[in-house]
Amino acid sequence: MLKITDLHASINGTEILKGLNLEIKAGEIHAIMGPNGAGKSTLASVLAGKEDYEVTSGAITFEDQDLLEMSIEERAREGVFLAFQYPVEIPGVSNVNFLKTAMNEIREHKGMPALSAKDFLRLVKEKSALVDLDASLASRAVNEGFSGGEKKRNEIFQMAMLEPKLAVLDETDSGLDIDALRIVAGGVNTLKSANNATLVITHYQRLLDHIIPDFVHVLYDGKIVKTGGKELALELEEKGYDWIKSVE
Amino acid sequence: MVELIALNKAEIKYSTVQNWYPGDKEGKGGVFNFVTKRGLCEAHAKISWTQVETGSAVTWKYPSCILKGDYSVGEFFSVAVTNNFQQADTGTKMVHLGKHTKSTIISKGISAGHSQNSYRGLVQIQKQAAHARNFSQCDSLLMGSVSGAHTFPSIECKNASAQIEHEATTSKIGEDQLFYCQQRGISEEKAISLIVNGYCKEVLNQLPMEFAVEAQKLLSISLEGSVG
Amino acid sequence: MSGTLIDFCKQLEPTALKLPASLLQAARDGVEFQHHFPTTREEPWKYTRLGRVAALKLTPVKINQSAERLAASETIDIIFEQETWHCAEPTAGLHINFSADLDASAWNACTLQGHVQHINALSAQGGVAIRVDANTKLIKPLRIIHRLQGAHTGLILHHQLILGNHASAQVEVFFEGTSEDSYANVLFDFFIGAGANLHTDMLQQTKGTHYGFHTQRIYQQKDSTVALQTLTAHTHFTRNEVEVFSQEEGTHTQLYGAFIGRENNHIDNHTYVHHTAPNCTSDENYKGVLADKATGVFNGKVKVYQDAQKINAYQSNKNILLSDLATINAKPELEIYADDVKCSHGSTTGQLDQHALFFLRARGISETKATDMLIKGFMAEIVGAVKSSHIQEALHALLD
Repeated sequence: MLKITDLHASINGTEILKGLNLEIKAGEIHAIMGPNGAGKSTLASVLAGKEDYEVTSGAITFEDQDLLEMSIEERAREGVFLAFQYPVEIPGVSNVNFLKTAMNEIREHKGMPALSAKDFLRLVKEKSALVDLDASLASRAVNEGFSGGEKKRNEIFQMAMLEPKLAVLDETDSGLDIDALRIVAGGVNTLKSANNATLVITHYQRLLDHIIPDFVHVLYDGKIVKTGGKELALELEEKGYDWIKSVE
Repeated sequence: MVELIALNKAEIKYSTVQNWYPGDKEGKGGVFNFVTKRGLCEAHAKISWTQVETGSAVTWKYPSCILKGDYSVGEFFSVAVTNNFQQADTGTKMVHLGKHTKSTIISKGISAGHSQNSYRGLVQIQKQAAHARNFSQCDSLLMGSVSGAHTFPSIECKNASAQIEHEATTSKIGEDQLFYCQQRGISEEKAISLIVNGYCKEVLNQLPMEFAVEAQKLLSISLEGSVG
Repeated sequence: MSGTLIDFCKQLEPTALKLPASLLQAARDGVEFQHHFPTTREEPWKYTRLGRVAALKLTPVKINQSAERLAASETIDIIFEQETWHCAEPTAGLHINFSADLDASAWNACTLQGHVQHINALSAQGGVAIRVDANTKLIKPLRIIHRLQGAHTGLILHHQLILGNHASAQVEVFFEGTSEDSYANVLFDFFIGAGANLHTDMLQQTKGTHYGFHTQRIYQQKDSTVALQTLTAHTHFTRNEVEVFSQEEGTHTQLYGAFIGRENNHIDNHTYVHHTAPNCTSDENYKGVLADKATGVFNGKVKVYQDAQKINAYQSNKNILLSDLATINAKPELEIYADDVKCSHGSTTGQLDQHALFFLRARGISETKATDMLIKGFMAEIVGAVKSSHIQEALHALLD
């Protein structure tokens, strides 16, 4: 589904990713762990197409298409979803209106008719229950005045609505208490299928107690330096990132 | 010229959506729109001006309220969008004469292209206007590196029991907001329209239903081609 | 020798300064002083009447310079007293001269804006030229004291402070003494070199029916930092014009001000920040407390020129009226021609927090004491930004 080959990316002339390789197949859950500054969030931003980052060399193919050639919204319409580490507030724009616009643009892209108001609302109700999101939040402005946990649950709610092929969760666990963490993870697990894939980016192992990864990669200094199964996360938790540095 | 007089306990809501021909992309042609609008409030009366200005090559318009009666209320809600070579210079005057008078000013300016967009206003609290209150919020959104956004408020206060608050902000349209929308599959043009409409919500909410729908469409149309 | 300000200006022309001909002509054209004083119909003078100033009968102060050096103290002192300049021995890298030595090259950067500056350009009788060499960090603060006295005196001074690249200095400026029916027009030009750092605290507290006009023009080069605190207390008439020219990238400017008026005081603060270069910040915070029949004016303008992207400009003006006869006129203005900017301003006018007042009184504090405490609290942000211990003390005394 996703293939990253020798990816180099920089911001303001500073190289952050220095030859990253990664392949994700449908039905898989991958976790990327690493110390602060390793390039975890850069990877998420590059996948989504954030313009501040410059890809200097390497390739990313998504469903056999060149992802780097696509605009931000094309990537989203093709099924790349980024759950933001810091979800953005958009004053005056209601969550419902925002999502309806997004869904219908994606459906139009796929040649599907726009959703009726009734079907849309039914979907909102169904999916918001999944992450225990208060229905009243749907009518409030996007992320405005939401607590940290509500923002993250809202991200997963949007993910449930948009049904992406590849979901990239960028430090979704940061700032979450244990209950919220369980709800968010529960949402992600329910949405899991044989046709989609998930990339979990995290600093800590605790999220991976709830979302069990098939593969764990350690990102250090812009490269994946170690790959293993879910037990690698536990080992990292125990030994800390210094262990990886010394291995290197 | 529009004059409103609200007698005791009367209430007037005057809503305008202005969409005269703004001239072409090079700034040729277009209507010059110079308007005088003023209102007088007697005791407990209320005048509320709401305007959405998207048209005309040049607009000068300052709907005003003279709050003569005690406990009278004046409101001004405005959205002014300028694109290409348009100029909008608009605002309000709130003259507080009566006791316990109250005024609210919400102004949202959006400038794109080569346009210039100014808020110019006066809040005047006269000596006898005890316990007068005013709140003003003037925000400007910039969408082109050659457009201008200006704020010229005047506040004159001669009474110690008055409470006046004025706030203004000027900023570029949020890159992170655009990115967020686009990441959810929304095109840039549509994302701008969403964000701008959200930005103007406080004012658009003041419009009667059928006007509000019209106004939202107008905002999107006015800003067409302002991207990039 | 005595006459009106206009006679006085004519008498003094040509100026003691070596003004380039073009600037002199601009000033002359600007003043047109045969028949013209700005009226309240002109925007910069909308709230300040000059009728009384135009009618003043003035005699120019004769300025002398004492050959004796002042004794060394915690500050490097420059004192104008009894019509005479007294000066301490400068430390290494610091040069203090009187107006004959004003650096003419610095004039090239000058602009002339409006009546006050025109009069100064035409008729300045002298001033102090201070230069701090590049890379010199002054350890002791410079203290410049203007001790005014007498009646019907006219004093027009033009000071210049040049900070070399990467130099730093702390300056304290005082206007004090008692003077009746008199006029002073004192201008400072601050030329701040690349990477240099200037901190200036200015206290204006001249007593008597004195008309004080003050101009601070600040020219900032790349990556320089300036903090200017302008504090005006209980003066009969003060007009402050602060103009900042952020000419190169990476400058930071802080303009703080406090104006405390009572009786018939009239205190007018005009500020104008020109952002012509990208990646700069400015932070402005002015607070006014007006009692009795005092009038305060705040007119702050921030202009961001086209291509001056990534500007972060903030402007705040808060006022408290303590009497129904006091007046405040506030005009915080933003003029923006670049798009990638963050600018905001806020202005509030009101009275002391009645809940807080009640709370303090409920704890047994007298109303007067409680009021003083709240005013002190209101002014704390500004007073806190003052580095000069002399001025800090004076402010505490004024607010008590």
